[in-house]
Amino acid sequence: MDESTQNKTAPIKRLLAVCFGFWSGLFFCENSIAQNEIHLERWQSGATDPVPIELKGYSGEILKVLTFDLEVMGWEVVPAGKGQFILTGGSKGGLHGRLEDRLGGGSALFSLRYSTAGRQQAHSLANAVVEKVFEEKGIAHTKIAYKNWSAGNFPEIHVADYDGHRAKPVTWDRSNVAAPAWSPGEWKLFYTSYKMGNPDIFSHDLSSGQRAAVSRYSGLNTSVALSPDGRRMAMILSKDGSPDLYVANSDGRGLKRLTKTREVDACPCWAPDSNQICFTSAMSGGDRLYLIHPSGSGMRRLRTAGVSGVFSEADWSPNGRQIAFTAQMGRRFYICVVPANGGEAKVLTQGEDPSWAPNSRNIVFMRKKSGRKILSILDVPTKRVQDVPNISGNSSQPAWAR
Amino acid sequence: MNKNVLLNTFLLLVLFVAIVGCRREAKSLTPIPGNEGAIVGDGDPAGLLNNYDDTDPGAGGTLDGNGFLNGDGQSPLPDRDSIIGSSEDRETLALHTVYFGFDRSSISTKELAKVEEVADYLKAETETMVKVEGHCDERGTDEYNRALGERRALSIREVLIQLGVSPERITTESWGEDRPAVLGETESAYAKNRRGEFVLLRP
Repeated sequence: MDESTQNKTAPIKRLLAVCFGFWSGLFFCENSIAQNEIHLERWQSGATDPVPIELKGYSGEILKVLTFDLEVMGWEVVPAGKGQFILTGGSKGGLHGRLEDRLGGGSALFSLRYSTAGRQQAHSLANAVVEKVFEEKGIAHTKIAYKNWSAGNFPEIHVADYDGHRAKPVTWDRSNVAAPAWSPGEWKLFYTSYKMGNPDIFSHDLSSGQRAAVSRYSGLNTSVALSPDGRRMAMILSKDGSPDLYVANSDGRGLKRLTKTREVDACPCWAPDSNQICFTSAMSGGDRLYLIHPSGSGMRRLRTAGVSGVFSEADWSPNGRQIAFTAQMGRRFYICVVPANGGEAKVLTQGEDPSWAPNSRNIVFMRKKSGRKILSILDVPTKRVQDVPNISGNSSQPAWAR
Repeated sequence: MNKNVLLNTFLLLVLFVAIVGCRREAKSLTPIPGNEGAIVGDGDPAGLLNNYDDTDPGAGGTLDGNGFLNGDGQSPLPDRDSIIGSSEDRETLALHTVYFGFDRSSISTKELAKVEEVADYLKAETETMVKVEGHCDERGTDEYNRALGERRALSIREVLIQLGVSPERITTESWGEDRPAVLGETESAYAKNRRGEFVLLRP
């Protein structure tokens, strides 16, 4: 808050203090508990309502970053007097912040100061708030990759901060690209490109710029997903006459066919222990979710009660508990989740192609808004959705780096 | 030249080994019940699928209840090096584009005549290969549609093979929903986008 605002609010504060004094004087015997007259529901772990927080003393870009980060990760920035938590600070002399819990006795939960005050420090401060209260890692410094049409007629693979900042193309293939997937923990992408006159899978080291065609069989090579241990990739190939699920080492060697169905098999993803693959298949009628061991054994259908439609684009949460997928019902697409061992599936919001954040709490997905394909971020516990700002053109197939 | 002969011999050998390998594997395979004639696969090693209630759509090499003809069997795609250096001709068979029903990859009897004409053309023009391009409307997710587009191209390929065209002359390429023939969110636009196009590949 700058000084002019402080000057304007000072008389109001004095008036409030007078009123409060008068009110508490009337009920002097309850004076001790009148301190808590602001109605606050104590935030509980696992709550489905966002946690109210006040941001005091921040402005401009810093306030924007803090607000976006916190609201994505399950918080709601509220006016003065309405928050259980208060983050007070500013940019002068480096970004700083002091977090207090109004229901926690008034002592600071933390007090932090960075040497400079930019977007990155604001991300760090937002992460600190999340980590202190939720005891889980924040995602404010993470990256996303996605397909984007903003440079002429051809889509390319782009990489950006998770809030769309610093977006830039990493391919310039001028043909068609699809389905980016991160190599776990590495600054390296895998994706489909039609550059060689066929949909092929490439690995792309983003530091060196080095690319390799890791799957270039006849027909379809697409929907690559790297195992969380980084050693293997699952993908859809059609070289044997049908779109089926295959696995190989991440350099393309050691290819193994896992399914032999005539129908469409699509969209593999891995369990966090790299020991199971979830994919979608129409092998027994409607398109459903299936699990299979990467050796090809133990295939079974995953029970998804309560949600119907055509299923695709499965993504396993990094904590292993849930599988997100897209269910198509008529013309509409919905982001859904189901427990990883099967059971009751839930519809979360309208959209396509979910990808979990490393916190297993947020999902980035594509949705259509006024005829444009945009990326949005869902906070699963609160079901709140924020659009990813700063990205021009149409975007789809987001993949969260994790 | 000598090098090419050597390479081709090697590739044929690889193909032979692959086919023999597949055949040997096939002996232990069980057809998925209700799917005889279409899939012979070991997609259900644990036999778990037998326990599902889902009624199988019954994809066989015959007309199904909806008047759709399903292709028969699966045939490995030709080596892609075989089309290197060929020139694309999109005009000659432009009127033979095959259209599909929503979320379908089987060829309706109405569209079958076009595939038959293409088969006749290919049997007469023995030096020409063909690429079947599979496309989808936008009502499907990106990667599902990429697989569905391929499935459509493969269904057309299977019918061409049944009609006597050599499998080695037919390649496929799926564009999913990425290259619509017409733009728009109407039923008629969608119907024009669910298609398989024939691209002749001349040496």
